[in-house]
Parts: sequence; C-alpha cells; structure tokens
Amino acid sequence: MALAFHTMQCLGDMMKKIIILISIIVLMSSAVGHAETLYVIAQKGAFVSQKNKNDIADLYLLKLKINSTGLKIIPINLPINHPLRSKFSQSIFNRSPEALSEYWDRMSFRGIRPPVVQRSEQAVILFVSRVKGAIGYVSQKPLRTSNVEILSEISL
Amino acid sequence: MIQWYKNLKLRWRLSFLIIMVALYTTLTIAWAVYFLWTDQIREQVSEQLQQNTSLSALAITKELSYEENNLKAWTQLDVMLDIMSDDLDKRIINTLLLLKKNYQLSGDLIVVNNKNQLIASTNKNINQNVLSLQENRTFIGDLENDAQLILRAPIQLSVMPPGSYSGYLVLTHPWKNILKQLSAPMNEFLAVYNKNTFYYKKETLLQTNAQSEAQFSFNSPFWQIHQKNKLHSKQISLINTPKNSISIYGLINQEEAFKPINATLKLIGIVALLLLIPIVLISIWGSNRFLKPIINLQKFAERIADSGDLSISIPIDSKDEIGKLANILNKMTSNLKQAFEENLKSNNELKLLTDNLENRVEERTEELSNALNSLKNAQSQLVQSEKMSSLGQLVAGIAHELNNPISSVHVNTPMLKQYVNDLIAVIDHIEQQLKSTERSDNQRLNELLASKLEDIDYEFVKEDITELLNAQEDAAKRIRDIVLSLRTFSRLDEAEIKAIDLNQGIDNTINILRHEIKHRIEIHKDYQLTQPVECFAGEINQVILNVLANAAQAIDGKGNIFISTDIYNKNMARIIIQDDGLGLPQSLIEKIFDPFFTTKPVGVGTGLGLSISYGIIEKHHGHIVAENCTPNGAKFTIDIPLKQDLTL
Repeated sequence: MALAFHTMQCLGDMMKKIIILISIIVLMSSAVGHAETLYVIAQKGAFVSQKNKNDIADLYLLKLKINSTGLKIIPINLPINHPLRSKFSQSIFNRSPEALSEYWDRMSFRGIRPPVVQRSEQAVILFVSRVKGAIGYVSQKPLRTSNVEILSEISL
Repeated sequence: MIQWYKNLKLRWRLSFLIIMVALYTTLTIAWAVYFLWTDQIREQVSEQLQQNTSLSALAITKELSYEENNLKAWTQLDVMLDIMSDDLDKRIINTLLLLKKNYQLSGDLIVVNNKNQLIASTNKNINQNVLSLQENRTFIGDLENDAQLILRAPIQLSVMPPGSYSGYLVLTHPWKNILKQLSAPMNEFLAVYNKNTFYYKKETLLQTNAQSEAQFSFNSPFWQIHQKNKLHSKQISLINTPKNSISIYGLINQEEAFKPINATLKLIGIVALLLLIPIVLISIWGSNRFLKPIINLQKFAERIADSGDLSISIPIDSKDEIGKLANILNKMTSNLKQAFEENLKSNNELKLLTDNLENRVEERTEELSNALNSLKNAQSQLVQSEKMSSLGQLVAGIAHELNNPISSVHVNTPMLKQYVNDLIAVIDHIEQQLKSTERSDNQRLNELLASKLEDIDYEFVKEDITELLNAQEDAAKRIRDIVLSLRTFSRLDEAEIKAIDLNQGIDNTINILRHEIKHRIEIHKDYQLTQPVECFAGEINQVILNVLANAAQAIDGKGNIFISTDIYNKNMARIIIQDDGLGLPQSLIEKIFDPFFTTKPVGVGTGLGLSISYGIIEKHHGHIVAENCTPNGAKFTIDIPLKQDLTL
C-alpha cells in the first residue's frame, strides 16, 4: 500500500516536472522575437478584477494587505539577485530592489516583513496555485491548465 | 575474674582500666557512628539512586522538551512556506540539513505536509510510519531493536488560515541515544514501556518482558532480577501520553549499594584501631609513669625491709600525695631507726647485765654446788668414818675376844696331834702284839679288839683323824690370821699418823678379802716399796680394801689382779692395782669418785666406797686416779707422800 502510494506520488512529481518543462519550452520559444513581458499571477478566482501597475506596487509594498473580499494578500518575490526581480522592481517601483531595502527597514519596525521569496518561477507558480491570496510574477505566461490566472501583464 | 584482676600488678590494673574505658568509649562511639552512618548511607544510596534516575529522566525530558521547543520554533521559519511549493527549491531540505548539522541532532528531521506526504527529510530511508503518525512523543519500531521516539510539531503557515495545519515538522530520536543518556549515570535500569518491561545493563538489553510490572513487589526496596537483589528507585516517567507511556526504574546491586557501608565499617574499624593503639600505648606508658613513684617507693620500702638498713631515705621529687607518703615513710623510718637504736642500746645493756648476772649465778651455783658436794662428801665421809670407826671398834673388840680362845686352839692343836698319833701308835702296837701271840685268850682279846675297832671303823678313823686334825690346825691358823688382820686393819690403837709398811697393809687387806677371791682370782704381787709410809694406817687400809673389793667385783668369773708398790717421784709411794675385769666405761670414769655413784644393784653397795677413798687420799695430800687399760680391765694408781706434814 505504502509502495503504491509512493509510486503514485513519484508519478505526480514526474507529471509536475513534465508540465513545468513543457511550459518552460513554450515560454522560451514565445520569448524569442517578442518584447519581454511580466505576468502577475494569482490563484484562479482569488481576485475578481485586473490590477494595474499601481495596485501591484501597493500589494508588493504591503500597503494593501487584504482585498475587497477580506482575503489576505500574500505577495511572492523572487530572490534579490534574480534578473526578473530587478526588472519587476524597476518596472513597478521604478527602483532597484536594493533601493527598496530602506523602505523595508522602516516597515520592519512596524511589524511588517517584506514579501515571501520563492527561489524559482516554478515554485512561485506552484505556491500561487496552492495558496489563496498569493500573488507572484513570472516571465512566462502560465498554462491555462494550471490553477492560476493572470492579474496583469506588464511589458518591460 | 575478680581474683585474676586483684592479682594483677597495679600498673596493669590501671592500664586495664583505662583500656577498658577507652574500648568501651570507642566501641560505643563506633557503634553509634556505624548505625547513624549506616542509616544515612542507606538513605543516601537510595536517594542517590533516586536522584540519578530522576536526573537522567529529567535530562531526557528536558532534552525532549528542548527539542520540541526547537521544533516549534523551526516550524515558524519562513522556509516552511515552501511546503506550499513542495520544496521545489529544496530550501526546506537544505534548512533541515543545516539544522541537523548545527544542532548536532542524532535523529532525523522530516517535514510532512498535511496530506501526510513527505516534503523533505534529512534521511532518504525513513520509516514510512513516521508520515502517518497522529501524535507527538510516539514510539515507532521495536524497543528491543531500532526503536525511535518521534517528536512532532505542527506547522502553521502565516499564509494559511488560522487553525489549519499545512504540515508537520518531525524529529526522530533514536532510543539508543536515550539509553546512552540513561546509562551514563546508571549502571542498571528497568524501562517499562506500555506495561512491558525491559531490563538494561548499561546500554545492553538483558531481559525483555521476563517479568511484567505486576510481578514486582513495589513495596519492597529490593527486587530479584537475574538472581540478584537489586535496590530500585521510584518509578520515573519519561513519557506519558494517552497512548504511550514509558517510565524507568534505576537499579543497583545490593552489594554495590552496601559498599559504602562496608567501607564505612572498615573505616570505623581502622579509626577505632588507630584510636585504640595509641590509647593502649599511652595508658601503659602513662600508668607506668604515673605509678613509677609508687613503685620506687615500694622498691625503697623493700630495700629497707630486706636490708634492715633504716638509714636509707627515699628521694622525694614531688609534692603530691606520693611525695607526702614518701616523706611520711622517711619520718617513720627515722623514728623507727631512733627507736631501734635505743632498743638496741638498752638490749645491750640488758644483755650485759644478764650476762653478769648469769656469770655470777653460775659462779655462785658452782660455789654452792661445790660446797654442797664437799658438805656431802664430808657428811658421807663422816658417816663412813664414824661407821668404820664403830665397825673398827667392834671388829677390834671381837678380834681381841676371839684372839685368846683361838690362840689356845691354835697352840694346842700340835699337841693334840701328837697325842692322837701317840694313841694311834699304842693301838697299833696292841693290835700287833695281839696278832703275834697265839694264845687263846690273846686270840679272844684280839678278836674283841678287832671287833671293837671294826665297830668304830678304826682304819678309816686312823686316816681321817689326821686329816681332821690338819684341817683343824689350818682353820685355827686361819682364824688367828683373820683376827690378826682384823686387828691390824682396824688399828684402833693407831688413830694417829704412823710410819707403816704398806706392803703388809696390802697383804692384810687381801687376807680380809680372801673369801671373796680365793679359787677365782689370782693375785700377782710386785712389791718394790721398801720404805715405810707415814699415814693413818686404818684409813689407807680402808682405801686399799675398797679398791681391791671393786677390782674383785669387776672380775666376772676367773681373773687376775696385779698389785705393785714403788717409790714415785722420790717422795711418794705409789700403789698400782690393776685388774683384767670388765673395765670402766669412759663415761663413768669422771663420775667414779662421786659420792653415791654406783653401778651395782640397789642395796648391794652404798656408792660411797671410792668417794671416801678419794677423800682419804686427798686428806693425805695424795692422788688417786682411775683409768681404763687395754685390752680390758681398770687401773687404779694411788700416790701417797712418804712423809706427812705435821701440821695436818
């Protein structure tokens, strides 16, 4: 029984990996010849409306913690040295991630910690798909089969 | 025992007493200490065991709760959010590995999501049961083998609604490690897991379920495990959840538990010995030292007693009771010495006095005795001389009276003899004549005569008559001699000093004694004395008679008496009368001249004879000496001066 369970779990993992691999290939292929775009994503059905740049900036600066339905908003960042993170920061806040540290220093005194970090875009997608209220940004457009929807598309 | 004690010397008694007191004290203290300590030690051992067990249990529970706290804290790590992304970035596992390394965890850290799916683990080969556990502090695996205690903390993510768990952080804790911790302070212990018992010695399991908990008598402080009595602690609970309970008992072997008691006993023994030895030595030394003055006192007293030297004084070197005693003894000695000297002095005086007195008494006694003797002598001599004088007078009278008739008989006897011879001749003639004639008338006459003669037995008469006459003549002669001797002996007419012929005197005396000595004793005479001797003749004769009579009596049966006279020393006459009779015993020689001394039976002699003789010779300024002569017999030597002093 345990063995079967294990096997199934392994198979699940494999499936996930295959899906991620395929989506990466698709994203890579679409990126060629296209201007770069950031996709801000969230769990399907968590948010009702599309968000503009300012909304997203407020969410990521944790100025807005709860949305209109009372859901706790959890923004997900990529690591600070991730290229997408600096692009995202430049695009949304018009500042580098390093420049924002002063802001977070101040915020930490008020008990507010900077957003959660996931090391890879895949992990961001998985996290967002599982946690309601979580929002993240990825460079590739998520597959429709995944449990995420795009809140906003930001061209760089 | 008491007698034995009394016979001991004083110092041994003192030592004995001190030792006994010391022994009693030491033993009492040792006993008390032993019992107090033993109780304390027993309690301590028990407490120690309890403490050890509690401490190790506490250490484990502390560690467990520490680990649980850690787990709880670690669940709050941001990285745990990665449960949501199935640890796709491997941040959780990295964190777990880091934690394991940094906290030096012996077990494994595992993160499971709320669907019991393994998210991350520090060990690839984990027991799958870990994933489905529902409770914190649960045992999985076999306690005899590779059991593991599972600690579990729920992970609540901030991103998830409160009250919902996104997963669990699990820490496995190998039972072996717990055992290590338990066995570090404890040699042996018993673990009771869900009513199964496991007996461990150090980390080694020796017995499983052999005895269920119910079989122990928990009231007794000892259990029998592996055939050995074990002291046990109280039950200490390590883990107590509704489904899992594990508790331990610390154990210790009885011998080991009582080791400190035995050590204590040994220590007490050594201490007691260490205490006693110096006490014994000190008590012996001390009593010796303490009693030394008394012993010295005794030695001095003994010396004084033995030597009698009262001038010895005891040296006084202290002012205590013994010093005082010595002082008193010295005083007593000096007093005694004084008294002794006085006593000696008075004794000497007394002795001198007594000696003088004795001497004087002796002298007086001797004088008195001499006087008495001489008085006795004088008296007896007086009596004797009186007697002899009376006897002499009587004898002289008788002799005088007898002298005339016997003289006539003596003178007439030869004539009678002549006449008888003549008659016999006539008768013979007649007979002859008658025979020669042949006449008838003659014949008849002859026959008549013959018959007449025959009637008187004439032939016999003729022979016998001569003999008779001879005998008569002899007898008459003897009577005349005796009478003459008696007269000479008594010498009544000679009561004054006269010069006499001693030889004749001796002869006369022999005559008187003739009847005593004839046929029995032969007298040998050797008269060399030719000079007359001046003396009282009668008394000297008496002396000779006495000596001769003694000599004759001393001869039993036949014997000889030798009599000699001679001049001695020119002016003395010496008479020696010697016999070969019985002799004189040496012891009697000295007494022989004592008055009333006699060897004869009572009534035979007076015992005065020789005494009187002595007196008579003394009176004549002469000597009489008696001595024994070899081979037998006695010898009397009488010396008389030839001339007597006229003043006598």
